[in-house]
Amino acid sequence: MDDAPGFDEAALHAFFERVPVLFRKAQATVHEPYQFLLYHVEHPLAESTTDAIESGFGLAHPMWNPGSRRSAIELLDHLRYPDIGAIADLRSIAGMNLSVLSHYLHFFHHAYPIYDKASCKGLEKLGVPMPYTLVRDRDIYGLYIRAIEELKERIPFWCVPETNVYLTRIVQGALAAYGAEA
Amino acid sequence: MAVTASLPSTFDDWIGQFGDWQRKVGFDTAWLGDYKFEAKYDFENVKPTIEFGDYAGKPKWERPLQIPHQNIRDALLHLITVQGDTEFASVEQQRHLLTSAPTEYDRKSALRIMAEEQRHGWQMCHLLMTYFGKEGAIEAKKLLERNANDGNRLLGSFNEPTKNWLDFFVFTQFVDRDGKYQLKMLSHSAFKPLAASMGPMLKEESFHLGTGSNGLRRIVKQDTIPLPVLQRAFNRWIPTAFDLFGKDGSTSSEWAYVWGIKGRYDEDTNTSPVTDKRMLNAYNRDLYRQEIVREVEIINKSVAPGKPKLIVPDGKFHRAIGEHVGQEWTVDGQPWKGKGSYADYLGSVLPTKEDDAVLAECFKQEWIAAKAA
Ligand SMILES: [Fe+2]
Ligand SMILES: [Fe+2]
Repeated sequence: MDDAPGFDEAALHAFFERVPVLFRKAQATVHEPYQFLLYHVEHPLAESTTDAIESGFGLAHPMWNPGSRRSAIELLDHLRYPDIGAIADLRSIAGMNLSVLSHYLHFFHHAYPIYDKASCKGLEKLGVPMPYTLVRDRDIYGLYIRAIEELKERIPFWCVPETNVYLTRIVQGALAAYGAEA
Repeated sequence: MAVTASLPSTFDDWIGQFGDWQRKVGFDTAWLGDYKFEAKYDFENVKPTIEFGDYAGKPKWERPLQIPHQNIRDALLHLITVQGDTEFASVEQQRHLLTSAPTEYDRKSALRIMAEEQRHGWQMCHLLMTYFGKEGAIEAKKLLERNANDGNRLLGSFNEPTKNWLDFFVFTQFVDRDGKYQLKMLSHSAFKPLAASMGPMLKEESFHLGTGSNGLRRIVKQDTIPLPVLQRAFNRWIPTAFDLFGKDGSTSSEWAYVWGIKGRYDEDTNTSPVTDKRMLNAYNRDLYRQEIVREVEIINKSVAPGKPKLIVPDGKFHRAIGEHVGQEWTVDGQPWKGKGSYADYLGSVLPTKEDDAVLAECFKQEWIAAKAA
């Protein structure tokens, strides 16, 4: 990739070796709701799904208008990883920021990574500056997806724990735990 | 089935035949979503020099012409063929389960596992087509012709029907875990493109194993499927997984080690030399056995107090390969001395017709918890 973000190689290798432990640390805080959501988010997607996702991760509930939640769910459901173009078409709803949106997307299609402050911080510690913004900026989320993709690609097999969780979550969860460290 | 396809002369030719195979299996490529079939090599994490055997310390071979002699080349061709055979077989075994998944995530997981197994088969065919000339093409073609449902896949586990979702979780936990062992042993190979194929495959296998072990813990936690039914499924599948390690005293695994093409499972951490090269299969099988005993201990943590725990059958029980074939051993490794016939004993410890009926009833209820304990 010619536009590959410039990871700090030494930091990256040290990070990879810690992924199993960091992932468990991240997952420990949301294990119950995370596993519950994996097996309960089913088609047809109910409106209450977004409430369950927000509660599971301690996120504030967006101020939905009548019909806006349904159309948001439909739009996100129709996305196909790694495409994110359509998120710019979402009506603006107070509280439905990029981070909240990425949580929905992750449970609709598990390859989309959760975007949060700690994970951005984790990337920064690995040498890849990643802005944390609440604006639904598809360029930033696209950049974030590419950075996570590179980590998925480069992590050695012996650093990938055996779980029922997608590699996207393993890497992103580990990043979040890493970013949260002082 | 009538075989009409001609020998693929390029990898693109082979891809065309692979599409026919997918149609025959009934795998709709639209299900793949963003999943791409591609050959993936991780050369970054492969050691540059041969790790063990007679050529230890010399640079690894990057092209077939660098392989010192024909016997080694033949052995590599065989190892790659066998590995590829298991990959396509498991899709043939599992495809029918997609309509009966307990949850949407389970269905997606099975779908993803099947997609990844196809990619693994694709990877092996990429090696065969790229490095092994006409013989490689013959094998790559045959990989798409044998069929698990016809019972002519190369290894026992891969001709056994995975009848239901219990089998699926038992299979991914124990048979895919054998796969992890085979891949890790090949990751030390002197043939660099083979070694470099293993990293990306092993990363994907982590999800298969996690799905299996998690699924079994969810089943035990829910406590709907009777534990003896689960134990009988273990008794059926685990001996086939032991068989996958091959015979003890095998000369082919001895040569594979001498030539540096297939190592011990723990070759990277085990610094002691091999004392008995003829017992390499037993050595690796024993490491595998220790690992699955630990896995079953984890599953047992979810078993309700007072109920009998699940066990890993003894390595002598119900083997189809090696010195214990045809011998009469109990599941826990004692010489069988019961009343009646040994066949009756086997009938009581292997899955029964009644088990199928019990399972069919269980599958109508909540039979698997949403999350493991
Ligand atoms: Fe595989
Ligand atoms: Fe697998």
